[in-house]
Amino acid sequence: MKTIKNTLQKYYVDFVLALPGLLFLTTFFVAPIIAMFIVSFTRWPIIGNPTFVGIRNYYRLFSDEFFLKALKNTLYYTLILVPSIISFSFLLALLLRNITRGKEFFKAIYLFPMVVTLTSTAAIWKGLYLPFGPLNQLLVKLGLRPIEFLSVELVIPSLCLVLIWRDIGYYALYFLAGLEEIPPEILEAATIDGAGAFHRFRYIVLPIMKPVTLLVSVLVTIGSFMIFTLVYVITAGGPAYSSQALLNYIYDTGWKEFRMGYAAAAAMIYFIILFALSMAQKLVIKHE
Amino acid sequence: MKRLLLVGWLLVVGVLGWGVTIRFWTCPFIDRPEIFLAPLVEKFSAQTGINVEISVVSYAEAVVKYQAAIAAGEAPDIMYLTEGRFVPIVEFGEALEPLDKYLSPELRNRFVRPELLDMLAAATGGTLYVVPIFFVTYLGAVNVDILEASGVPQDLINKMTDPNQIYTWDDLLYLAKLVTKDLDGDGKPDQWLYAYPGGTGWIHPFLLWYWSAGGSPTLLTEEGKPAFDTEATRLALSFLLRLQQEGFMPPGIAYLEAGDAIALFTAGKTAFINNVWPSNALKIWPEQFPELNYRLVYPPVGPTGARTTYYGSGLLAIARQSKYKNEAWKFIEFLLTDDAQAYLARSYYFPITGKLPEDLAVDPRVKMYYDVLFYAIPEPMHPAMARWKVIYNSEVQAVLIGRKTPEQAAVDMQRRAEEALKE
Repeated sequence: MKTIKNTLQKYYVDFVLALPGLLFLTTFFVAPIIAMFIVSFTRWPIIGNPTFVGIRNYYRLFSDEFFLKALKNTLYYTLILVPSIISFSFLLALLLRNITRGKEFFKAIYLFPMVVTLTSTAAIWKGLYLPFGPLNQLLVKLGLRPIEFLSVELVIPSLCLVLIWRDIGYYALYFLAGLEEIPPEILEAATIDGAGAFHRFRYIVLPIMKPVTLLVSVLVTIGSFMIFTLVYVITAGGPAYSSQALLNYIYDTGWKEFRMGYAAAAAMIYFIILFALSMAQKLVIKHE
Repeated sequence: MKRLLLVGWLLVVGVLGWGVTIRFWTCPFIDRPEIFLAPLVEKFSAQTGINVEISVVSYAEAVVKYQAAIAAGEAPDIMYLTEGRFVPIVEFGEALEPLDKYLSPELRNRFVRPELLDMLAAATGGTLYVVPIFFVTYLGAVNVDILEASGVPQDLINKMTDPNQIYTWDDLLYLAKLVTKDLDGDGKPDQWLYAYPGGTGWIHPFLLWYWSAGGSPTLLTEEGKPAFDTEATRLALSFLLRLQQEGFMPPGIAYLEAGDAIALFTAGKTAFINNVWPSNALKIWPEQFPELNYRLVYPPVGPTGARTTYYGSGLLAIARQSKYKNEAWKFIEFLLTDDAQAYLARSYYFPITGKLPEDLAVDPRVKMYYDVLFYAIPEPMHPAMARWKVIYNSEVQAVLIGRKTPEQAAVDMQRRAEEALKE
């Protein structure tokens, strides 16, 4: 008791200063998660009071083909997005670094897609991807066959392409900042020692850039699990759930089908996956 | 004395509701409904002193937003709803005001189809919670230029446009063979019969075919079970699949939305469309696509002999928590007056009470919309409709992408619909 009192006396200023932030976090993050956890054990069609159903929602989720499909799709998004965004934004950063004139202009150009709201971006790409949209008209004019961008086979890569186009400029800035930190003397010394461009890149640039690469991979992985707007606007999860992401599944279950308890259970699983991923990546970064 | 007068005036104002503002949330049944309704609101305010504040909520979010507002105690006084949307709101803790006591027998008798009021009441245990203010029906349309250039016999066109004749799904297949063409010589068709909006989230595109194949109007069997694992479902899905497999529909229909299907018709890429609502056919298309040479056609008769189409109406409800229920009802009554109904009719939202203005009444195209009224089916008013819509649209998609046969899809629709009911 005395220890607690002493601690409070010692740190009361710190505690008071941290209080607004703690209150904010509790109200807007911790409390909703607790509420979601409680709702996940109920059947609650928004109408009326929730009914306690135990772990039935969780039990059913793991045999729900649409939930499993959404989970699989989300992993597919991640598998495409993480390596693509990392490699393209790294490449872009290397190009930007070597530009001697107008670097700021090009940086602004590549960052521009990030400034446009994702809803507007999605609406534009939706028009581009239509079977008779401008992209296919262009392909036909070039003597090529039109592509069904939103078909079952291509819908996820097509949606990923939008995100890659949108995000590489932003992540290139991370890589660019990392590249700018590499002391030129090291590269010069390696050149004098006879290292070619490939060897300088492989043995000097890549190892130095490892922390940035890990950071970007964490951000893109989390971003991939948060895909929602693009799917919502362009495909609404179709055709036949082939582009449905986890968040879209949760939203549709809760707000279109009015199954709040079931949606909360799915959201809890989503939360656990995301939390585990973040922790794992944090550990890797710490280890590095 | 002055104070006394002021108090007296305030009392009069209070009693009459003068200066009261009622909140009306509407869906965009027309582009910018707040502007469209402004003249009516002005006239109503001038007559009664009651102001009406209009806010627009999207169809997709209407139910959720209404429920959120009701739960927060901030429900608008008047809510715009549709047949498929009002039942969940009624079930939301008795959120709507029963309207039977407000509706006089005289007003009831003025409705074009008074029995529709009974249907609306029947959906919620016999109590009327919503009152329609206009109705629309759906017709089909054909592109006359395509038909003429393809050598479609006049006899078939007559069958499609004459209310006393019929044309069938087989006639549509025959038409499809004539109009589907490779116009630019690249070996692939670039003109088709019809674009089914396979990516739609709408309620009616599949139901138009399902009902035409003899499907249950309420989507329920006589025993009250979902009516999806039925011959009607299999016939409708098989017909759509056949149109797709034989190349009578454009590529990508599994993810086309309803707006895309309309765009293909207005761009002259497809020759037939089956969900043409009046404002599109009679107002918007003539203005936006003056080159489009089209004719309205009646719905086809399905393989079981059924001829149906879709009926929709704009429904208004009053929130039970509203402080201004009487004022809200006054506004609804005002919208049902002959003048207001005539105003709505000018934008082709047809009068639910009273008559059409003379010039519209003689328009043969308007007459066609009235002809189908008596076999048109309203949106099913079932509490599980929100889920069923998602279920059947996704199963149609599964058939169109070749993942399921019509038979498998019908079985899965039934299973999923029953699961939805159990919850």
